[in-house]
Amino acid sequence: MRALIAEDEFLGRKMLTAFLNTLFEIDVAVNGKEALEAFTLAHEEGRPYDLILMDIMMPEMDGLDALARIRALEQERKLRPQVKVLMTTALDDAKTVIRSFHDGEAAGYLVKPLGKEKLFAELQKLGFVTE
Amino acid sequence: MSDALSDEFFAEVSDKYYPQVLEGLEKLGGGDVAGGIEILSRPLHTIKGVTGFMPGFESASHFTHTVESFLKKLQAGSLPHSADNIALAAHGVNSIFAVIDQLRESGAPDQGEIDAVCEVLEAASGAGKGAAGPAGGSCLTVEQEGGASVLRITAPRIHRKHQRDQIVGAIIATPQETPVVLDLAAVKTFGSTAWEDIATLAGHWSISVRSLCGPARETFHASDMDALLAVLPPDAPAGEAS
Repeated sequence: MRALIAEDEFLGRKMLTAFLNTLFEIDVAVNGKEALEAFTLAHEEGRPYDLILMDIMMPEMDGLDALARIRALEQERKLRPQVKVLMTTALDDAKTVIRSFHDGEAAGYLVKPLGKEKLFAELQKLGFVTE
Repeated sequence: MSDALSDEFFAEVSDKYYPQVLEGLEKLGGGDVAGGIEILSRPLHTIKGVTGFMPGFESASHFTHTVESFLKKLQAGSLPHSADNIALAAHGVNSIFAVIDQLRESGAPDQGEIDAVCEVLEAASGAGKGAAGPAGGSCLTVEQEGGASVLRITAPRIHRKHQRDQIVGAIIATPQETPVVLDLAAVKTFGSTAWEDIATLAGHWSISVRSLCGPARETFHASDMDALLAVLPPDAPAGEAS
């Protein structure tokens, strides 16, 4: 399985990579623009991501904008199944949470600080890990 | 954060999702199953996601997931687009909004109601426990009450041929001058074919239905049985059927 971590903070990327590297082959992106490029490239390679961890506040292009563009690409190119996207962010305001699920069709929403237990509980809900 | 989120969520449900859901249900009821489910999927996904994120609302999220799974099976064609299944889907979706209303009003959903709907959906998906009972088992008892013959249906789901045959047989065995009351207090789902079988007898026997509720009521009305059979409230004496 492949996962993309989109996170602008070095320590955040390092920690998430450490949590997930036993389950996924991992790529990292440092902003939404890179995440969108990585998503497109993975499809062109015929090896799409199974999971994207998407931070929201990132430079150049934020995570919600990147996610909207990913969903638009999936729609336009009829890419199925939709990639599962977990929002990983410090933002917990109502509008952002609701917008992530409704407009971005996010599969889950995790508020930082993130621990392995919290992350794996969400991965279990999504069927990536058992028990 | 949580209060602000729940306020915003309830406002979104009323202003945005409920109209979308009504449109989806209308299409679903009109026979456009794929179009209806397509419209339903976005608001239901949002309800599942947001309630899953809010502490105390998790059971609403799990419940929405169960309804969503049933809709996905219908969409994929792994469940037939029968009148029963469409009625169950609509009942499941309406129940989500009932649960949200309960959360808004009292802060907690009626877990018994959630479990009952989940059980019906899972049974209809072939995953439940004892979907229709063992073949050949009795599904009713016959009692006399106030000059009427009360057929008390004891199986929770009436879909199989042997069950329909038992009900039809019990009605035919009743003298035509004796009113027949079908008591459905224990029934959760009642297939449209079973209603059709009873409809063929409606002109010859005076048949009433008592304690009609949930998906059984939806298939009753969807089969236009209200034009043929009288509906009695749960506590009505059977004698009123005459």
